[in-house]
Amino acid sequence: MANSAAVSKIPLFRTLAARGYASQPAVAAALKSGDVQTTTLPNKLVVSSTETGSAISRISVAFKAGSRNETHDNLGAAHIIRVAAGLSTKHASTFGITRNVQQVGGSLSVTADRELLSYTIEVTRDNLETALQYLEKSVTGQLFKPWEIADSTPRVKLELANVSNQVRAVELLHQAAYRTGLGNSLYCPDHKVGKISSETLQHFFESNFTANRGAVSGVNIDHQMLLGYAQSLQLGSGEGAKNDNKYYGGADVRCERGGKNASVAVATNGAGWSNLQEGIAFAVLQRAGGVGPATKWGQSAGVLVKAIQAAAPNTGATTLNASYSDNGLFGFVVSGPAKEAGIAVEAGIKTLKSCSPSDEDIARGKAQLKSELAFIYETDGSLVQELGVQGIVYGNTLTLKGCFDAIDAVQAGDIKSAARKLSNKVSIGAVGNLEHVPYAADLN
Amino acid sequence: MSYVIRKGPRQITNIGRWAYNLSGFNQYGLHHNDVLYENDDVKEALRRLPQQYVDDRNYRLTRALHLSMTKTILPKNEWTKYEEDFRYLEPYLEEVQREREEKEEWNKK
Repeated sequence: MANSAAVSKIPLFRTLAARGYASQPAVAAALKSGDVQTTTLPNKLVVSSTETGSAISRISVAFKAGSRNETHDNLGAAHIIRVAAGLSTKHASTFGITRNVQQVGGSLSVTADRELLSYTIEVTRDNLETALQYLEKSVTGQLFKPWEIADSTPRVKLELANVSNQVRAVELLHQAAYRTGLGNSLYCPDHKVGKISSETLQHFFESNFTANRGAVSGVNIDHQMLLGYAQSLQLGSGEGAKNDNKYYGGADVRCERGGKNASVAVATNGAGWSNLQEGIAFAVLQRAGGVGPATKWGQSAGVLVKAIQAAAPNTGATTLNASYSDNGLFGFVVSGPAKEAGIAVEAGIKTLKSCSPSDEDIARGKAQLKSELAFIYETDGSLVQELGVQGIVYGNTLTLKGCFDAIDAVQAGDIKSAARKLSNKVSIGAVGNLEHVPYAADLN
Repeated sequence: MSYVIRKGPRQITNIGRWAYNLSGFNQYGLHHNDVLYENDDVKEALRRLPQQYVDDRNYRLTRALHLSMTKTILPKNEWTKYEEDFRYLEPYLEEVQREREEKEEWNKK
Protein backbone atom coordinates (compact mmCIF):
# COMPACT_ATOMS: atom_id res chain seq x y z
CA MET A 1 0.00 0.00 0.00
CA ALA A 2 1.61 3.19 -1.12
CA ASN A 3 1.29 5.95 1.38
CA SER A 4 0.72 8.75 -1.09
CA ALA A 5 -2.24 6.92 -2.61
CA ALA A 6 -3.78 6.40 0.81
CA VAL A 7 -3.57 10.05 1.78
CA SER A 8 -5.31 11.23 -1.34
CA LYS A 9 -8.36 9.14 -0.42
CA ILE A 10 -9.27 11.35 2.54
CA PRO A 11 -12.64 12.93 1.87
CA LEU A 12 -12.23 16.66 1.55
CA PHE A 13 -14.79 17.64 4.17
CA ARG A 14 -13.13 15.48 6.79
CA THR A 15 -9.78 17.11 6.13
CA LEU A 16 -11.37 20.51 6.49
CA ALA A 17 -13.09 19.51 9.71
CA ALA A 18 -9.80 18.28 11.16
CA ARG A 19 -7.94 21.43 10.17
CA GLY A 20 -10.62 23.78 11.37
CA TYR A 21 -10.72 21.93 14.63
CA ALA A 22 -6.98 21.88 15.13
CA SER A 23 -6.68 25.62 14.86
CA GLN A 24 -9.01 26.35 17.78
CA PRO A 25 -9.02 23.46 20.21
CA ALA A 26 -8.92 25.31 23.51
CA VAL A 27 -12.00 27.44 22.89
CA ALA A 28 -14.26 24.55 21.98
CA ALA A 29 -12.91 22.56 24.89
CA ALA A 30 -13.61 25.17 27.51
CA LEU A 31 -17.23 25.44 26.43
CA LYS A 32 -18.49 21.99 27.20
CA SER A 33 -15.95 20.21 29.34
CA GLY A 34 -17.42 17.21 31.12
CA ASP A 35 -20.45 16.76 28.88
CA VAL A 36 -20.80 13.37 27.26
CA GLN A 37 -22.67 13.13 23.98
CA THR A 38 -24.02 9.75 22.97
CA THR A 39 -25.68 8.71 19.74
CA THR A 40 -26.81 5.28 18.65
CA LEU A 41 -26.52 4.76 14.92
CA PRO A 42 -29.19 2.89 12.93
CA ASN A 43 -26.88 -0.13 12.83
CA LYS A 44 -26.80 -0.05 16.69
CA LEU A 45 -23.23 1.13 16.94
CA VAL A 46 -23.01 3.37 20.02
CA VAL A 47 -20.99 6.54 19.50
CA SER A 48 -20.02 8.72 22.44
CA SER A 49 -17.65 11.59 22.85
CA THR A 50 -16.53 14.17 25.37
CA GLU A 51 -14.16 17.09 25.70
CA THR A 52 -11.51 17.51 28.37
CA GLY A 53 -9.47 20.30 26.82
CA SER A 54 -6.31 18.22 26.46
CA ALA A 55 -4.10 18.50 23.37
CA ILE A 56 -4.33 14.76 22.78
CA SER A 57 -7.30 13.10 21.13
CA ARG A 58 -8.13 9.54 22.01
CA ILE A 59 -10.48 7.37 20.02
CA SER A 60 -11.47 3.87 20.93
CA VAL A 61 -13.38 1.25 18.97
CA ALA A 62 -14.66 -1.60 21.13
CA PHE A 63 -16.53 -4.81 20.44
CA LYS A 64 -18.17 -7.49 22.54
CA ALA A 65 -15.43 -9.89 21.56
CA GLY A 66 -13.82 -10.73 24.88
CA SER A 67 -12.92 -14.21 26.02
CA ARG A 68 -16.44 -14.96 27.30
CA ASN A 69 -17.55 -15.21 23.67
CA GLU A 70 -15.24 -18.11 22.99
CA THR A 71 -16.54 -21.64 22.66
CA HIS A 72 -14.61 -24.80 23.36
CA ASP A 73 -13.51 -24.90 19.71
CA ASN A 74 -11.97 -21.45 19.63
CA LEU A 75 -10.74 -21.15 23.20
CA GLY A 76 -7.95 -18.59 23.33
CA ALA A 77 -9.05 -16.74 20.17
CA ALA A 78 -9.64 -13.46 22.00
CA HIS A 79 -6.09 -13.51 23.37
CA ILE A 80 -4.59 -14.20 19.94
CA ILE A 81 -6.72 -11.49 18.33
CA ARG A 82 -5.50 -9.04 20.96
CA VAL A 83 -1.91 -9.97 20.20
CA ALA A 84 -2.64 -9.70 16.47
CA ALA A 85 -3.65 -6.04 16.73
CA GLY A 86 -1.77 -3.96 14.20
CA LEU A 87 -0.94 -6.90 11.94
CA SER A 88 -1.79 -6.80 8.24
CA THR A 89 -5.42 -6.33 7.33
CA LYS A 90 -7.23 -6.06 4.01
CA HIS A 91 -6.47 -2.35 3.99
CA ALA A 92 -2.90 -1.98 5.26
CA SER A 93 0.24 -3.94 5.98
CA THR A 94 1.79 -4.30 9.45
CA PHE A 95 4.57 -1.99 8.41
CA GLY A 96 2.16 0.56 6.96
CA ILE A 97 0.09 0.71 10.12
CA THR A 98 3.10 0.94 12.42
CA ARG A 99 5.00 3.47 10.37
CA ASN A 100 2.10 5.78 9.61
CA VAL A 101 0.97 5.87 13.23
CA GLN A 102 4.55 6.45 14.39
CA GLN A 103 5.05 9.20 11.85
CA VAL A 104 2.32 11.32 13.44
CA GLY A 105 3.50 10.45 16.95
CA GLY A 106 0.45 8.36 17.67
CA SER A 107 0.02 5.25 19.70
CA LEU A 108 -2.26 2.34 18.88
CA SER A 109 -3.11 -0.05 21.67
CA VAL A 110 -5.60 -2.79 22.38
CA THR A 111 -7.13 -3.85 25.66
CA ALA A 112 -9.03 -7.04 26.33
CA ASP A 113 -11.19 -8.25 29.15
CA ARG A 114 -13.77 -10.96 29.44
CA GLU A 115 -16.42 -8.81 27.74
CA LEU A 116 -14.66 -6.53 25.30
CA LEU A 117 -11.78 -6.02 22.96
CA SER A 118 -11.09 -2.33 22.48
CA TYR A 119 -8.70 -0.65 20.08
CA THR A 120 -7.52 2.80 21.10
CA ILE A 121 -5.51 5.36 19.24
CA GLU A 122 -3.94 8.41 20.87
CA VAL A 123 -2.64 11.32 18.85
CA THR A 124 -2.29 15.10 18.90
CA ARG A 125 -5.38 16.89 17.61
CA ASP A 126 -3.82 18.13 14.39
CA ASN A 127 -2.95 14.60 13.27
CA LEU A 128 -6.35 13.14 14.04
CA GLU A 129 -7.14 12.43 10.39
CA THR A 130 -4.22 10.05 9.83
CA ALA A 131 -4.77 8.39 13.18
CA LEU A 132 -8.47 7.72 12.51
CA GLN A 133 -7.63 6.35 9.12
CA TYR A 134 -5.15 3.82 10.51
CA LEU A 135 -7.39 2.92 13.43
CA GLU A 136 -10.02 2.00 10.87
CA LYS A 137 -7.52 0.11 8.74
CA SER A 138 -6.30 -1.97 11.65
CA VAL A 139 -9.71 -2.73 13.18
CA THR A 140 -11.81 -3.53 10.12
CA GLY A 141 -11.03 -6.22 7.59
CA GLN A 142 -8.64 -8.14 9.84
CA LEU A 143 -7.02 -11.06 8.05
CA PHE A 144 -4.81 -12.97 10.51
CA LYS A 145 -2.23 -14.09 7.98
CA PRO A 146 -0.97 -17.48 9.16
CA TRP A 147 2.73 -16.52 9.08
CA GLU A 148 2.13 -13.34 11.07
CA ILE A 149 0.10 -15.24 13.65
CA ALA A 150 2.86 -17.86 13.85
CA ASP A 151 5.44 -15.09 14.29
CA SER A 152 3.56 -13.71 17.28
CA THR A 153 3.42 -17.06 19.10
CA PRO A 154 6.57 -16.30 21.17
CA ARG A 155 4.85 -13.17 22.47
CA VAL A 156 1.82 -15.22 23.54
CA LYS A 157 4.14 -17.64 25.33
CA LEU A 158 5.89 -14.76 27.07
CA GLU A 159 2.59 -13.29 28.22
CA LEU A 160 1.49 -16.66 29.56
CA ALA A 161 4.77 -17.06 31.43
CA ASN A 162 4.34 -13.61 32.97
CA VAL A 163 0.90 -14.23 34.44
CA SER A 164 1.23 -13.81 38.20
CA ASN A 165 -0.11 -16.42 40.61
CA GLN A 166 -2.75 -14.02 41.92
CA VAL A 167 -4.10 -13.40 38.43
CA ARG A 168 -3.94 -17.11 37.66
CA ALA A 169 -5.96 -17.81 40.82
CA VAL A 170 -8.67 -15.37 39.68
CA GLU A 171 -8.71 -17.03 36.24
CA LEU A 172 -9.16 -20.45 37.86
CA LEU A 173 -11.88 -19.02 40.10
CA HIS A 174 -13.82 -17.93 37.00
CA GLN A 175 -13.41 -21.37 35.52
CA ALA A 176 -14.72 -22.97 38.72
CA ALA A 177 -17.57 -20.52 39.09
CA TYR A 178 -18.85 -20.39 35.50
CA ARG A 179 -17.29 -23.44 33.75
CA THR A 180 -17.88 -22.01 30.23
CA GLY A 181 -18.63 -18.54 28.85
CA LEU A 182 -17.55 -16.19 31.62
CA GLY A 183 -15.40 -19.04 32.88
CA ASN A 184 -13.09 -18.78 29.87
CA SER A 185 -9.69 -17.46 30.75
CA LEU A 186 -8.43 -14.15 29.40
CA TYR A 187 -5.35 -16.06 28.36
CA CYS A 188 -5.00 -18.64 25.66
CA PRO A 189 -4.77 -22.12 27.23
CA ASP A 190 -1.25 -23.61 27.00
CA HIS A 191 -2.39 -26.48 24.81
CA LYS A 192 -3.85 -24.09 22.22
CA VAL A 193 -0.81 -21.86 21.80
CA GLY A 194 0.25 -21.88 18.16
CA LYS A 195 -2.65 -24.16 17.26
CA ILE A 196 -5.44 -21.68 16.64
CA SER A 197 -5.80 -21.49 12.89
CA SER A 198 -6.21 -18.38 10.84
CA GLU A 199 -9.69 -19.56 9.81
CA THR A 200 -10.79 -19.96 13.44
CA LEU A 201 -9.67 -16.42 14.21
CA GLN A 202 -11.35 -15.16 11.07
CA HIS A 203 -14.63 -16.77 12.07
CA PHE A 204 -14.45 -15.34 15.60
CA PHE A 205 -13.70 -11.93 14.12
CA GLU A 206 -16.53 -12.03 11.56
CA SER A 207 -19.14 -13.12 14.08
CA ASN A 208 -18.21 -10.81 16.94
CA PHE A 209 -16.79 -7.62 15.44
CA THR A 210 -20.19 -6.46 14.24
CA ALA A 211 -21.86 -3.06 14.45
CA ASN A 212 -24.55 -4.12 16.92
CA ARG A 213 -21.86 -5.44 19.29
CA GLY A 214 -19.68 -2.37 19.03
CA ALA A 215 -19.09 1.11 20.36
CA VAL A 216 -16.96 4.02 19.23
CA SER A 217 -15.87 6.48 21.86
CA GLY A 218 -13.75 9.59 21.64
CA VAL A 219 -12.18 12.09 23.96
CA ASN A 220 -11.34 15.51 22.52
CA ILE A 221 -12.92 14.91 19.16
CA ASP A 222 -15.90 16.70 17.67
CA HIS A 223 -19.01 14.58 18.05
CA GLN A 224 -20.20 15.14 14.47
CA MET A 225 -16.80 14.18 13.13
CA LEU A 226 -16.78 11.03 15.24
CA LEU A 227 -20.29 10.19 14.06
CA GLY A 228 -19.20 10.54 10.45
CA TYR A 229 -16.24 8.31 11.18
CA ALA A 230 -18.36 5.67 12.93
CA GLN A 231 -20.80 5.63 10.03
CA SER A 232 -18.02 5.09 7.54
CA LEU A 233 -16.63 2.03 9.37
CA GLN A 234 -17.18 -1.09 7.32
CA LEU A 235 -18.62 -3.40 9.95
CA GLY A 236 -20.56 -6.59 9.54
CA SER A 237 -23.85 -7.39 11.20
CA GLY A 238 -25.11 -10.42 13.03
CA GLU A 239 -26.00 -11.63 16.47
CA GLY A 240 -22.59 -12.99 17.36
CA ALA A 241 -21.82 -15.38 20.16
CA LYS A 242 -24.27 -15.97 22.96
CA ASN A 243 -22.69 -17.19 26.09
CA ASP A 244 -23.29 -18.73 29.45
CA ASN A 245 -23.31 -16.81 32.68
CA LYS A 246 -24.76 -19.35 35.08
CA TYR A 247 -23.00 -19.39 38.42
CA TYR A 248 -22.07 -22.79 39.83
CA GLY A 249 -21.19 -22.71 43.51
CA GLY A 250 -19.17 -25.20 45.48
CA ALA A 251 -16.56 -25.96 42.84
CA ASP A 252 -12.84 -25.48 42.90
CA VAL A 253 -10.09 -25.51 40.32
CA ARG A 254 -6.69 -26.04 41.85
CA CYS A 255 -3.29 -25.80 40.27
CA GLU A 256 -0.66 -27.35 42.53
CA ARG A 257 2.74 -25.84 41.83
CA GLY A 258 4.66 -26.44 45.03
CA GLY A 259 6.87 -23.72 46.47
CA LYS A 260 6.30 -21.83 49.69
CA ASN A 261 3.37 -19.61 48.77
CA ALA A 262 -0.25 -19.98 47.85
CA SER A 263 -2.61 -17.62 46.05
CA VAL A 264 -6.28 -18.30 46.53
CA ALA A 265 -9.28 -16.55 45.01
CA VAL A 266 -12.62 -17.22 46.67
CA ALA A 267 -15.95 -15.84 45.51
CA THR A 268 -19.65 -16.29 45.57
CA ASN A 269 -22.29 -14.93 43.22
CA GLY A 270 -22.26 -11.12 43.00
CA ALA A 271 -24.09 -8.90 40.57
CA GLY A 272 -23.72 -7.70 37.01
CA TRP A 273 -24.33 -4.28 35.52
CA SER A 274 -27.72 -5.24 34.09
CA ASN A 275 -29.11 -3.92 37.35
CA LEU A 276 -27.20 -0.68 37.87
CA GLN A 277 -28.28 -0.24 41.48
CA GLU A 278 -27.22 -3.73 42.46
CA GLY A 279 -23.98 -3.36 40.52
CA ILE A 280 -23.15 -0.19 42.44
CA ALA A 281 -24.16 -1.81 45.74
CA PHE A 282 -21.57 -4.56 45.19
CA ALA A 283 -18.96 -2.04 44.06
CA VAL A 284 -19.49 -0.09 47.29
CA LEU A 285 -19.42 -3.32 49.25
CA GLN A 286 -16.07 -4.17 47.69
CA ARG A 287 -14.56 -0.91 48.95
CA ALA A 288 -16.17 -1.50 52.33
CA GLY A 289 -14.50 -4.90 52.37
CA GLY A 290 -11.14 -3.30 51.55
CA VAL A 291 -9.14 -3.04 48.33
CA GLY A 292 -5.61 -2.55 49.57
CA PRO A 293 -4.10 0.43 51.35
CA ALA A 294 -4.82 3.95 50.14
CA THR A 295 -1.52 5.26 51.49
CA LYS A 296 1.99 3.96 51.01
CA TRP A 297 2.93 1.44 53.72
CA GLY A 298 -0.60 1.95 55.06
CA GLN A 299 -3.17 -0.63 55.97
CA SER A 300 -6.51 -1.31 54.42
CA ALA A 301 -9.42 -0.12 56.53
CA GLY A 302 -11.84 -2.66 55.02
CA VAL A 303 -13.65 -5.17 57.20
CA LEU A 304 -12.87 -8.22 55.12
CA VAL A 305 -9.18 -7.46 54.70
CA LYS A 306 -8.85 -6.66 58.41
CA ALA A 307 -10.50 -9.93 59.40
CA ILE A 308 -8.22 -11.95 57.11
CA GLN A 309 -5.07 -10.19 58.25
CA ALA A 310 -6.03 -10.57 61.91
CA ALA A 311 -6.18 -14.34 61.40
CA ALA A 312 -3.20 -14.59 59.04
CA PRO A 313 -0.88 -11.63 59.61
CA ASN A 314 1.63 -12.45 56.84
CA THR A 315 -0.99 -12.77 54.14
CA GLY A 316 -1.93 -10.09 51.64
CA ALA A 317 -5.63 -9.79 50.92
CA THR A 318 -8.00 -7.77 48.80
CA THR A 319 -11.71 -7.86 48.16
CA LEU A 320 -12.69 -9.07 44.72
CA ASN A 321 -15.68 -7.77 42.81
CA ALA A 322 -15.86 -8.83 39.20
CA SER A 323 -19.02 -7.39 37.66
CA TYR A 324 -19.89 -8.26 34.08
CA SER A 325 -22.84 -7.20 31.97
CA ASP A 326 -25.16 -9.90 33.27
CA ASN A 327 -23.53 -11.55 36.28
CA GLY A 328 -20.69 -11.11 38.68
CA LEU A 329 -18.45 -12.58 41.34
CA PHE A 330 -17.86 -11.21 44.80
CA GLY A 331 -15.23 -12.51 47.18
CA PHE A 332 -11.59 -12.04 47.99
CA VAL A 333 -8.08 -12.94 46.91
CA VAL A 334 -5.44 -13.91 49.43
CA SER A 335 -1.79 -14.51 48.76
CA GLY A 336 0.88 -15.49 51.22
CA PRO A 337 2.73 -18.32 52.93
CA ALA A 338 1.23 -21.74 52.23
CA LYS A 339 0.88 -22.47 55.95
CA GLU A 340 -1.36 -19.47 56.50
CA ALA A 341 -3.49 -19.92 53.40
CA GLY A 342 -6.01 -22.24 55.06
CA ILE A 343 -6.58 -19.94 58.04
CA ALA A 344 -6.83 -16.91 55.77
CA VAL A 345 -9.41 -18.52 53.48
CA GLU A 346 -11.52 -19.74 56.40
CA ALA A 347 -11.43 -16.33 58.10
CA GLY A 348 -12.34 -14.64 54.83
CA ILE A 349 -15.29 -16.94 54.11
CA LYS A 350 -16.56 -16.53 57.68
CA THR A 351 -16.55 -12.74 57.29
CA LEU A 352 -18.04 -12.95 53.80
CA LYS A 353 -20.99 -15.06 54.93
CA SER A 354 -21.78 -12.97 57.99
CA CYS A 355 -21.02 -9.69 56.25
CA SER A 356 -22.96 -6.75 57.63
CA PRO A 357 -21.16 -3.50 56.88
CA SER A 358 -21.63 -0.60 59.30
CA ASP A 359 -22.82 2.80 58.11
CA GLU A 360 -19.26 4.03 58.48
CA ASP A 361 -17.99 1.26 56.17
CA ILE A 362 -20.65 2.12 53.62
CA ALA A 363 -19.80 5.81 53.70
CA ARG A 364 -16.12 4.98 53.24
CA GLY A 365 -16.99 2.57 50.42
CA LYS A 366 -19.01 5.19 48.59
CA ALA A 367 -16.30 7.82 49.01
CA GLN A 368 -13.64 5.45 47.68
CA LEU A 369 -15.77 4.40 44.73
CA LYS A 370 -16.42 8.05 43.85
CA SER A 371 -12.76 8.96 44.02
CA GLU A 372 -11.80 5.97 41.88
CA LEU A 373 -14.38 6.97 39.28
CA ALA A 374 -13.18 10.56 39.40
CA PHE A 375 -9.64 9.34 38.70
CA ILE A 376 -10.93 7.34 35.73
CA TYR A 377 -12.75 10.38 34.34
CA GLU A 378 -9.76 12.61 35.05
CA THR A 379 -7.44 10.52 32.89
CA ASP A 380 -8.31 10.67 29.21
CA GLY A 381 -6.77 7.26 28.53
CA SER A 382 -9.07 5.50 30.96
CA LEU A 383 -12.03 7.77 30.20
CA VAL A 384 -12.12 6.83 26.52
CA GLN A 385 -12.22 3.15 27.46
CA GLU A 386 -14.80 3.71 30.17
CA LEU A 387 -17.08 5.42 27.64
CA GLY A 388 -16.70 2.45 25.31
CA VAL A 389 -17.55 -0.01 28.08
CA GLN A 390 -20.57 1.99 29.15
CA GLY A 391 -21.71 2.35 25.55
CA ILE A 392 -21.65 -1.40 25.01
CA VAL A 393 -22.88 -2.56 28.39
CA TYR A 394 -25.72 -0.02 28.93
CA GLY A 395 -26.06 1.41 25.43
CA ASN A 396 -25.64 4.81 27.04
CA THR A 397 -22.97 6.81 28.84
CA LEU A 398 -22.89 8.73 32.09
CA THR A 399 -21.09 11.90 33.01
CA LEU A 400 -19.06 11.87 36.20
CA LYS A 401 -21.86 13.75 37.91
CA GLY A 402 -24.32 11.14 36.61
CA CYS A 403 -22.13 8.43 38.19
CA PHE A 404 -22.02 10.29 41.50
CA ASP A 405 -25.80 10.72 41.48
CA ALA A 406 -26.25 7.01 40.76
CA ILE A 407 -23.96 6.14 43.70
CA ASP A 408 -25.79 8.52 46.02
CA ALA A 409 -29.09 6.98 44.97
CA VAL A 410 -28.00 3.62 46.37
CA GLN A 411 -29.14 3.44 49.98
CA ALA A 412 -27.44 1.72 52.89
CA GLY A 413 -30.32 -0.76 52.92
CA ASP A 414 -29.55 -1.80 49.29
CA ILE A 415 -25.95 -2.43 50.22
CA LYS A 416 -26.88 -4.44 53.28
CA SER A 417 -29.29 -6.56 51.26
CA ALA A 418 -26.51 -7.13 48.71
CA ALA A 419 -24.28 -8.25 51.58
CA ARG A 420 -26.89 -10.78 52.69
CA LYS A 421 -26.71 -12.46 49.26
CA LEU A 422 -23.13 -13.45 49.98
CA SER A 423 -24.21 -16.51 51.93
CA ASN A 424 -24.38 -18.47 48.64
CA LYS A 425 -21.99 -21.33 47.99
CA VAL A 426 -18.43 -20.22 47.28
CA SER A 427 -16.12 -21.29 44.47
CA ILE A 428 -12.35 -21.39 44.77
CA GLY A 429 -9.43 -20.98 42.41
CA ALA A 430 -6.02 -21.71 43.90
CA VAL A 431 -2.40 -21.74 42.67
CA GLY A 432 0.85 -22.59 44.42
CA ASN A 433 1.48 -24.81 47.41
CA LEU A 434 -2.03 -25.98 48.21
CA GLU A 435 -1.33 -28.20 51.21
CA HIS A 436 -3.46 -26.11 53.55
CA VAL A 437 -5.97 -24.67 51.10
CA PRO A 438 -9.45 -25.99 51.92
CA TYR A 439 -11.79 -27.50 49.31
CA ALA A 440 -14.95 -25.63 48.34
CA ALA A 441 -17.07 -28.73 48.99
CA ASP A 442 -15.94 -28.81 52.64
CA LEU A 443 -16.70 -25.14 53.17
CA ASN A 444 -20.25 -24.93 51.87
CA MET B 1 -8.07 -14.19 2.78
CA SER B 2 -7.89 -15.63 -0.65
CA TYR B 3 -4.90 -16.09 -2.83
CA VAL B 4 -5.94 -16.92 -6.38
CA ILE B 5 -3.35 -19.13 -7.98
CA ARG B 6 -2.97 -18.88 -11.71
CA LYS B 7 -2.44 -21.78 -14.07
CA GLY B 8 -0.54 -21.08 -17.26
CA PRO B 9 0.73 -17.73 -18.52
CA ARG B 10 -1.32 -14.54 -18.46
CA GLN B 11 -1.44 -14.57 -22.25
CA ILE B 12 -0.84 -17.64 -24.34
CA THR B 13 1.44 -16.78 -27.26
CA ASN B 14 3.43 -18.90 -29.68
CA ILE B 15 6.66 -17.14 -28.86
CA GLY B 16 5.95 -17.70 -25.18
CA ARG B 17 5.44 -21.40 -25.79
CA TRP B 18 8.63 -21.60 -27.82
CA ALA B 19 10.65 -19.87 -25.07
CA TYR B 20 9.05 -22.01 -22.36
CA ASN B 21 9.89 -25.25 -24.11
CA LEU B 22 13.37 -24.03 -24.98
CA SER B 23 14.21 -23.32 -21.33
CA GLY B 24 13.95 -27.03 -20.65
CA PHE B 25 13.06 -27.14 -16.93
CA ASN B 26 9.65 -28.53 -17.88
CA GLN B 27 11.36 -31.70 -19.11
CA TYR B 28 12.30 -32.41 -15.47
CA GLY B 29 8.65 -31.93 -14.50
CA LEU B 30 9.38 -28.57 -12.88
CA HIS B 31 7.18 -25.49 -12.97
CA HIS B 32 8.38 -21.93 -13.51
CA ASN B 33 7.98 -21.06 -9.81
CA ASP B 34 10.22 -24.01 -8.87
CA VAL B 35 13.24 -22.54 -10.59
CA LEU B 36 13.17 -18.97 -9.30
CA TYR B 37 16.45 -17.73 -7.90
CA GLU B 38 16.00 -17.82 -4.13
CA ASN B 39 16.59 -14.21 -3.20
CA ASP B 40 15.22 -12.76 0.05
CA ASP B 41 11.80 -12.10 -1.44
CA VAL B 42 11.43 -15.66 -2.69
CA LYS B 43 12.67 -17.06 0.62
CA GLU B 44 10.08 -15.02 2.50
CA ALA B 45 7.33 -16.04 0.06
CA LEU B 46 8.31 -19.70 0.51
CA ARG B 47 8.07 -19.28 4.28
CA ARG B 48 4.49 -18.07 3.86
CA LEU B 49 3.48 -20.74 1.37
CA PRO B 50 0.96 -23.29 2.69
CA GLN B 51 2.58 -26.60 3.54
CA GLN B 52 0.88 -28.63 0.80
CA TYR B 53 2.47 -26.45 -1.91
CA VAL B 54 5.85 -26.63 -0.20
CA ASP B 55 5.63 -30.42 -0.13
CA ASP B 56 4.70 -30.61 -3.84
CA ARG B 57 7.53 -28.26 -4.70
CA ASN B 58 10.05 -30.26 -2.71
CA TYR B 59 8.90 -33.45 -4.39
CA ARG B 60 9.36 -31.94 -7.85
CA LEU B 61 12.78 -30.53 -6.95
CA THR B 62 13.97 -33.85 -5.54
CA ARG B 63 12.74 -35.67 -8.61
CA ALA B 64 14.49 -33.15 -10.87
CA LEU B 65 17.77 -33.56 -8.98
CA HIS B 66 17.48 -37.30 -9.30
CA LEU B 67 16.82 -37.05 -13.04
CA SER B 68 19.75 -34.68 -13.44
CA MET B 69 22.01 -37.05 -11.54
CA THR B 70 21.02 -39.97 -13.74
CA LYS B 71 21.34 -37.72 -16.84
CA THR B 72 17.78 -38.52 -17.96
CA ILE B 73 14.58 -36.58 -18.45
CA LEU B 74 10.94 -37.53 -17.92
CA PRO B 75 8.98 -39.21 -20.74
CA LYS B 76 7.44 -36.52 -22.92
CA ASN B 77 3.88 -37.01 -21.67
CA GLU B 78 5.01 -36.06 -18.16
CA TRP B 79 6.66 -32.79 -19.17
CA THR B 80 5.04 -29.70 -17.71
CA LYS B 81 2.89 -28.08 -20.37
CA TYR B 82 3.14 -24.38 -21.13
CA GLU B 83 -0.62 -23.96 -20.46
CA GLU B 84 -0.50 -25.90 -17.20
CA ASP B 85 2.43 -24.16 -15.55
CA PHE B 86 1.28 -23.66 -11.96
CA ARG B 87 2.19 -20.25 -10.51
CA TYR B 88 1.68 -21.23 -6.85
CA LEU B 89 4.24 -18.80 -5.45
CA GLU B 90 3.20 -15.77 -7.45
CA PRO B 91 0.53 -14.22 -5.16
CA TYR B 92 2.75 -14.65 -2.10
CA LEU B 93 5.80 -13.33 -3.89
CA GLU B 94 3.91 -10.30 -5.19
CA GLU B 95 2.73 -9.52 -1.69
CA VAL B 96 6.26 -9.76 -0.31
CA GLN B 97 7.48 -7.47 -3.09
CA ARG B 98 4.72 -4.95 -2.41
CA GLU B 99 5.63 -4.91 1.27
CA ARG B 100 9.32 -4.42 0.45
CA GLU B 101 8.53 -1.59 -1.95
CA GLU B 102 6.40 0.08 0.70
CA LYS B 103 9.34 -0.07 3.11
CA GLU B 104 11.74 1.28 0.49
CA GLU B 105 9.33 4.10 -0.30
CA TRP B 106 9.25 5.09 3.38
CA ASN B 107 13.01 4.83 3.79
CA LYS B 108 13.55 7.31 0.93
CA LYS B 109 11.85 10.03 2.95
